[in-house]
Amino acid sequence: MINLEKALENERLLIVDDLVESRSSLRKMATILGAGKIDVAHDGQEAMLMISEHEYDIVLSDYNLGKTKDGQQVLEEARFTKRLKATAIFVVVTGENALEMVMGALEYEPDGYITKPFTLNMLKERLIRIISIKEELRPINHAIDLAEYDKAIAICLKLLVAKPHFRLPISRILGQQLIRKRSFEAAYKVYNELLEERSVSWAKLGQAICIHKLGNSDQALKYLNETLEEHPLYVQCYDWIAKIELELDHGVKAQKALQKAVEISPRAVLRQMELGRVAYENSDFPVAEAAFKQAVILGRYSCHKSMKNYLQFARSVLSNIDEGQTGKVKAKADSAFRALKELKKDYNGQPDSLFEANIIESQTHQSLNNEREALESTKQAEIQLAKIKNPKTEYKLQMTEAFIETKQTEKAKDMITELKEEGIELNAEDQARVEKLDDTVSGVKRLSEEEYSDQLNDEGVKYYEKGELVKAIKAFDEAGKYEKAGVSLLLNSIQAKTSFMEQKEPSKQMLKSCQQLLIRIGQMSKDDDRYSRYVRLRKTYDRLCRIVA
Amino acid sequence: MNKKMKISTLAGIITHDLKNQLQSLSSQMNNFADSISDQQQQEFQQINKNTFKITLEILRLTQLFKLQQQQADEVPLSMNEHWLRDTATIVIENAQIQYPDIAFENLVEMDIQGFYSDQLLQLALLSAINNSAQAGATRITLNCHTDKTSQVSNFNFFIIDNGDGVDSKIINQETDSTKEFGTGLGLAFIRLICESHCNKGQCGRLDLINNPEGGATISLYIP
Repeated sequence: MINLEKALENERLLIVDDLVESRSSLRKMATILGAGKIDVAHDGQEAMLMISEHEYDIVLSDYNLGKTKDGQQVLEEARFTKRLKATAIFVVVTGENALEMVMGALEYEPDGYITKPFTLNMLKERLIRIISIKEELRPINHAIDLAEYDKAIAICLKLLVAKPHFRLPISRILGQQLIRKRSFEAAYKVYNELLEERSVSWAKLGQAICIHKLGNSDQALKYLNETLEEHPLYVQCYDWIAKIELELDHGVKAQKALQKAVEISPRAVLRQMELGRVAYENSDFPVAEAAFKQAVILGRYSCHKSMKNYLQFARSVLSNIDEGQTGKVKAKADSAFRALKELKKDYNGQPDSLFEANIIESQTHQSLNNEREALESTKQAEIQLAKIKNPKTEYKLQMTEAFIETKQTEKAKDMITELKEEGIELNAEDQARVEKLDDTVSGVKRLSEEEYSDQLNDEGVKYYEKGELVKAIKAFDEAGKYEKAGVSLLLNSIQAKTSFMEQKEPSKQMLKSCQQLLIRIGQMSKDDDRYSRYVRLRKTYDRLCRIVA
Repeated sequence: MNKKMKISTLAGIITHDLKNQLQSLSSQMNNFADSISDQQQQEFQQINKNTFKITLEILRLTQLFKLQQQQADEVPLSMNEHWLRDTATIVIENAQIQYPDIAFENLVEMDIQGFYSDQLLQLALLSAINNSAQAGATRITLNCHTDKTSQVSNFNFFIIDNGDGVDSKIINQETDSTKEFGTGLGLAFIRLICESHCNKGQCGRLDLINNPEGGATISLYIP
């Protein structure tokens, strides 16, 4: 065993705890034990900042660190970014409850833990043990730091014979490195030998991964579910169940597994991103929206921050607006706009990101009938598209759609011509999209304004009869944009909106739109056949206004 | 979140806060101990003992709740690899606060790993020490035997004392206490912890024996 005072003398140590008393107590203990250079961080975010600025030899981190990252996430990010070397030590300070969640981790497990409440001597004994083991395993971890994984494996095999009392920690690293080198059969053997003696959670997970990689996904799923029966908080099993289910094309099952994992451990950015992605694929937009929202929030101060999260969050919101409830639409849309604004600020200078952000912004404004704002966002998208060298076909298609939505028919037509003339071989799906857009543009031009308005009115009526009020409102609004729109169409539009508000809840924005329609209709003669309908709708409108007031 | 989850989540949050408070209390008491005179130290020692006793009971209570919940959910006890010597060291460190006049000896070998719940085994060992102390022990030794052929197999943990020994009724499990006002809670708690540790269909066991040279040995078998 090592001399702790000497071992700590020249080491740089970081203490992470959100509670001031725990922080100062731990700092005092570390000083008494001989640590020379001690830094402290108040939360996970500050810890990551300090880890990125300094090279720490030892990190003592509480598991619960308040609202941002927890101790496990600090560890994962620190190791993922290689800011904390494999030879450096990470100790989790925790109540026992979190222990199951951190010690079972296969990939980013801490080097040790200490449970509260503890005394100076307990900390001393625990550190002596952890540092001693780390020293014994230093050659392996040094090879890992240098990315010499074959060498790390060779040292593991040698040390397994030379130091059998370290069989567990060595086997754990050996299994990981063999999986990294895709030597699944060898890794399976390592895990299996352990499991023949006892049920070790990380070995069971490792074994399931190997079995899956060797081609038996069903058996792997069975093992993972068995492990979860014994260790219900073992989130990584859920992660792997999701991965395997996705490979088997079982999107819904994968989503369920990820939702369970997120329920247990909600602060992992990558897991929230994956849940959002899978839910979006499954068209479960409320779940996707919530997951991407978390990914945006958690990712803000994380190495996993990605503009994709912002875009996917805004896309999910947009998809929810179509099915949504008017009362909450504005708040939802505002949160999407805020996310896109943040994206534009943080990813300024990246035309691809800015283009996509502006397109989604335009689409969202369209859904809210904010024509002026939609047009402005489309213009911004156009500016960004011009900055992109060789833009993707997808971008051009999105641009065309935005032009059509904002009535910029000539520009849409030019873009379609460009797509057709470019000579790029489009895939069948893109080809179909181009043709459809071409038809839409031609259709707008071919019909007179009145005919087009009538056509949209008919569409709106059909939607209304089917009870698809959101689509009906959209069609009537579109038709109502033409000056020659008749009274019947304006009444239809009011009826769709009041019905929608009666079903869901009245909104000021929609009532204002009804008011504008009533103004357009003006005074109606009592002799008009539509007078009684007008009066009825007017009464409904007044009643809804009173509710809002 | 279902009702059961809510209760367990709430209990988890409270336990977490409680442990933080205990940690804070422990460091405040240490600071205080450094600042008082030798005469005051004696009084303080009694306060420290009582505080430790309360801490121990709180930990017992939280662990009992956890065990109850695991049993209700039919989930096996969560066990990890731990170093037996370290567990014994922590137990002695704690026991010395409560029983400063007892001489403790840690004979557990340095490099033996076992699979168990560290917190539960610590509580079981502390309860065993408590029993030895009540039986008048002045010397307690902690030792451990394990199957040397494997690093992850069964072990026997021994608490050997020089006290009055154990009544045969207790050894034969006819009762957990022969004292007029004894509850037998200590032994029942240790037995519960041993039996909660299971591996490959085999569960732990508590054995009591009187030593030929006097005193008793409490043996905790963990598979």
